[in-house]
Amino acid sequence: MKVFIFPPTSLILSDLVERFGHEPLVMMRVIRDKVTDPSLDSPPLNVTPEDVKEGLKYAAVDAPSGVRGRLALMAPLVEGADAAIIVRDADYGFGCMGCARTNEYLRYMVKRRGIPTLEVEYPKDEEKDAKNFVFSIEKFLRGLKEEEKNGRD
Amino acid sequence: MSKVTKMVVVSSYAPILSKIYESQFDLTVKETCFGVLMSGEEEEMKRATDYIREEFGKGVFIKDRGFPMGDVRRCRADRGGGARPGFHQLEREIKMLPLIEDSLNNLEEGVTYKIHPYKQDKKMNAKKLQKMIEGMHR
Repeated sequence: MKVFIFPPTSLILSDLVERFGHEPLVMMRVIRDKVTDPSLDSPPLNVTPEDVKEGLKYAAVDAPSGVRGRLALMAPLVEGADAAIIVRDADYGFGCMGCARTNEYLRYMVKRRGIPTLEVEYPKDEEKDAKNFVFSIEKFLRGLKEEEKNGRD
Repeated sequence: MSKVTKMVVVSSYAPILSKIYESQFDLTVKETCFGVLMSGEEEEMKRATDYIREEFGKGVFIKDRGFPMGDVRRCRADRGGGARPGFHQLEREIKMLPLIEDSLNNLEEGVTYKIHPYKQDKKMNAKKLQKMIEGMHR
């Protein structure tokens, strides 16, 4: 099953999802398509004016273009996901208006879709935190069933 | 078939580069401070990642990378130094890898552990929300 992870560039989440037999939906693949496909932009950029227009599907025109541009890349990942794993209060999941609001919006989208979601926290320096993190993710991924695919909208 | 790039990150030193050379995968490989970068065709990459996971067990963590190796938009040599965009997130996660590796080993060994559920967000009660709107919530 396709699993959306947040932060969408996370090494640990991406590896764990793949290790436990699912497909992680990650930002890196979107960026790869963006920067390696031939396009008019030279060199191709991460976010183009077209993306900002595509972002209108998710946020109003008065939302900052940074939010809409980011959503154009990340929101399709949520739309295609069958489940989601979100790290709450991720150390590098903060940011300015563009990043922070996009992050909030993505969490909101995940909840609206009604797909099975697990919210975890990064382990601190203790072994039991790490165990809780890994065992929770393993249990969640093992429990995913094909019939629960794709949320309500 | 398209070319893909992957990052292989190790939690402690492992001779990944020599093993990949030894196995003669048709990949471009570059050693870095955190492990290796590999670039090549998707099918060959799949074989290589399966091999690395089998050879080094739970000590290696693999993720995709969007930009090709040495891309001028990311390579520090062309950008005048400083950390590569995205490195801080990676660096933070690298610090956790030894703990995650231990937990994965425990999982494989069948160690029993009682999970303490994380606090999950709940839907807000509509009546409570109404009271908040009316300024009556205490």
